[in-house]
Amino acid sequence: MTMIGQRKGRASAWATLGVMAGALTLGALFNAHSLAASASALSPGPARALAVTFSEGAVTVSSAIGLDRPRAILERYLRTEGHGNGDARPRPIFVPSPNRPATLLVAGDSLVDPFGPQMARVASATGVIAAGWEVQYSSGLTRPQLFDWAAHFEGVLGELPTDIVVFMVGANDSQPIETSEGWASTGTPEWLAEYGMRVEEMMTLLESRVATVYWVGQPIARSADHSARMEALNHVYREAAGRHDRVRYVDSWAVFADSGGEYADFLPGRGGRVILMRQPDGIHLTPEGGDHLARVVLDAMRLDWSIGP
Amino acid sequence: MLFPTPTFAVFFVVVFIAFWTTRSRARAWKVVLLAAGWVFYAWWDWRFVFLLVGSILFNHSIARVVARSRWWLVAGVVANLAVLGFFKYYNFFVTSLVSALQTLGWQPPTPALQVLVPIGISFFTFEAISYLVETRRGTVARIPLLDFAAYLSFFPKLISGPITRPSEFIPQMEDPTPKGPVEPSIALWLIARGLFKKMVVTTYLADAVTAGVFAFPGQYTGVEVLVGVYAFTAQVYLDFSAYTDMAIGLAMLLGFRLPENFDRPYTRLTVTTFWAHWHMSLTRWIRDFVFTPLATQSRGNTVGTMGVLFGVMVLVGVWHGAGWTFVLFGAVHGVALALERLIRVRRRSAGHPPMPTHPMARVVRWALTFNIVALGWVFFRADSVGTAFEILGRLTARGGLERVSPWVLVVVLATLAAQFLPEALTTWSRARFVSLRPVFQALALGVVLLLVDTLGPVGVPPFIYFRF
Repeated sequence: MTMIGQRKGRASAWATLGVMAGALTLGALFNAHSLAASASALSPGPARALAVTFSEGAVTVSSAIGLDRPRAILERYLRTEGHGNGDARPRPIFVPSPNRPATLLVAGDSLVDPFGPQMARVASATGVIAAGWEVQYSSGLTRPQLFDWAAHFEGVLGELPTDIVVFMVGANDSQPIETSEGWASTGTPEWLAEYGMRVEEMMTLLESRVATVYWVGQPIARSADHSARMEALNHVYREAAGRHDRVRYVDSWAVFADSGGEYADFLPGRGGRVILMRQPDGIHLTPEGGDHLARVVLDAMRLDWSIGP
Repeated sequence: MLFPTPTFAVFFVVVFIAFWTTRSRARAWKVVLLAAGWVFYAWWDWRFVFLLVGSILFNHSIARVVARSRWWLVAGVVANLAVLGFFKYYNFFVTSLVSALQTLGWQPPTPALQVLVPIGISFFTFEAISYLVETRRGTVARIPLLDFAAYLSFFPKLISGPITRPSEFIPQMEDPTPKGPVEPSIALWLIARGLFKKMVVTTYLADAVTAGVFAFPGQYTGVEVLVGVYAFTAQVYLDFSAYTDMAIGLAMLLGFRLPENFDRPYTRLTVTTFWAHWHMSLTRWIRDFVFTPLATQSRGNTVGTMGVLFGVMVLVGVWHGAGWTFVLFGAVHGVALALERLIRVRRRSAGHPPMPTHPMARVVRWALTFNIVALGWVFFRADSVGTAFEILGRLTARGGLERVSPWVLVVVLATLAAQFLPEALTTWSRARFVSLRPVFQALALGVVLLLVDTLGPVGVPPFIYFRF
C-alpha cells in the first residue's frame, strides 16, 4: 500500500482525507463520553440536536466495541479526582493566625480570571489566610454537562479542608436550562425556578463543607442586555443567600457602577485614583478591577473572621 | 474558532473537501480559501471581518501606485501603522495619560471609549506592509484582488502567523502544476505534535506553577519562583510553537508551505542568535523592514548601531503588547543585543573571534543567554511592572520546593533537553510516522486525540500569542 505522500495531486488529498477521517473517527470513539457531555452542554437548537445525535451514536458504538475502555483506564490511573473523605460537616469559624491560617478557595468562571489571583494575593497579604483559586472557563450552573461544579466541590472540598469559599458564576448561565419537564427559556418562571433550585443546592453543599461562603454577584456590564440578564441572576443569588446562615452575598454590581449607577470602564479605586476596571469586552475585569473587587470581598470577610486591617 | 476544538475539526474537513474539489479550477479554489478565511475570522467576532476587508481593499489599491512614487509607499505604511496603533495602543495611551495626570494631581474626565483589539491585527497588518514594500522593490508583481485577499485571509496563519511574505506565498498560489497536500504525513504529524504540546504540556505548566508564581510570588520560596520563571520560559515556547506547528501543518494539507518560526531557540549562545531562531518570521520582518533601513543611516557607527538595536527591540516589545511590561521586555533584549554588538566589534578590533569559543566559555554564554531570555519573559508575563520586580526580588527568598511539584522540573528540563537532541532523532521519529501505513497513521493520531482529551483541560485555554 502506498504511503499517502507518495500519491500525486488530488489522489494524495483524498488519501490524506481518509487518514484524517480515520483519526477523527477513532478520536471520537475513544472520547465518546466526553463528546457527549460537551454536546449536551450546547444550547438547544439544530447544532445541539446534531451534536447530541452524533455523540450518542459514538457512545453506542464505542461501548459496543470497547473503544471507551482506554480512556477509562487512563482516567483511573493518570487523573484522580478527589473523592472526599465522607466527613460532610460545616467547619467552624475561628480567629486565624499566622500559625493557623484560614484556608480560602476562590472558584468560578472566566470572571475569576484575574479576580481569583487578585483575591488570593490580597487575602494572603493579611498573613492569616492561605489562598488558592480555580478558573473553569465557560462554566456555570446551567450546563453541568460541561463542568459540574457540585461534583467538583464534593471532591475538592472533601480532599482539601477549606474554611472559606469565594464563588463567582453566572456570566455563562443566561441560556436555556434543562428541567425535569424539558427545556426552559431564559428568564421564564420555569427557568428561574430551576436555576434557583440549583443555586440553593450549591449553597447547601458549600455551607455543609466550609465555614463561610462568599457568593459574588455579577457586576454591571457595558451591554444593557447582558446587564439585565445578570441583574436577574443576582436577584436569585441574593434571595437564596438570605436563606443560608453561612452564605454571604457580595454585591459587585454597585462596585463597578459609577456615581449615577451606570456602567463605566474607568472608576475611582482605593484612594480615589481612577483606574481602568474592565476589559474591552465590557464584561471581564482587568487585574486592577480584580484587585478592587477582591478588597471588597476581603472587607466582608474581616467582620466574620476578625481579621484586622 | 480555536484550532484544538471539534468545531474547527469539522470546519477544516469541510474546507479541505471544498478546496481540493475545486483546486483544478483557476478562481474557484481561491474563492473557497477566501470564504474559509472570512468565516474563520468572523467566528471570533463578525465585526473584525470589516477591518480585514478594509485592509485588503486599501492595501491592494495603494499597491497600484507605490511603484510610481516612494511617498505612496510611505502613506500606505503610515496608514497601516496608524490603524494598528489605534486598535492596539489606544487603551494603553489613555490609561497611561489618565494615570500620569492623576500623579500630577489632576482628575481628568474619564474616557468614554474603550477599543476592542481585533485578534490577529498585528500579523495581517505586517503582511500587508510587506506586500506594499515588496511591490515597490519589485520582488513581487501586483496580483489580482482575489489573490491578494486570499493571501491575507489565509486562515492557518491569520491569527498568529507565521508572518508570511508575499514573495513566499504568492508564487505558490500561481504555480500551475498539479498539486496535492505538501508532505501530508508530516503535516499530520506536526498537527498532532502541536495539539499535544498545547493541550497537555503547556496547560500542565500553567496550572502547576506559572499561574501561581506570577499572580502572587510572595507565597513562594526563591527556588519555587525560579522554577516558575523557567517553567514560563518553557511554556511560552511550547504554546507558541504548538500554534505554529498546527498552522504549518494545516497549510501543508492545503498545499502551501509557510515559513518556519522556531529553530531550537533555547540552545543559542547569544541573544542575537536567539532572536534569529525565535519567532523567525517576525525577526526577519523587523530586520528587513525596520532594522536594516535604520542601521544603514548609522553608516557603520557602532554607537549608532547599538542605539538602533535598542530602539528596534523596544519596538518589538511594544509590538507584543500595549503595556510598560512589554516596553521593559523589549528593553532587556535591546540592552543585550547592543552589548553583544559592542563586544563583537571590540573583539574583532583586537583580532579575536567575535565571541569566545572555548567549551567552558560556550557553556557560560549559553547560561547567560538563557537567563537573559528568562528575565525578559518575567516582564512579558507579569501583569504589572511592580509584580515583575516583586518576582525578581522574591528570587532571594529562602526555602525549597514546598508548593511546587518536582514533576514541573522534569517537564521543564525535558522541554529544554528536547531542543538539544540531535536533529536526526526528530527526523527519525517523524520518518517512522511517515512510513506507517495510512490505517496505522490514523490509529496513532486517534491515540493522540485520546491523550489530548483525557489529559487536557475542560475547554481550551487561549494561546498566549493571540493577544498580539
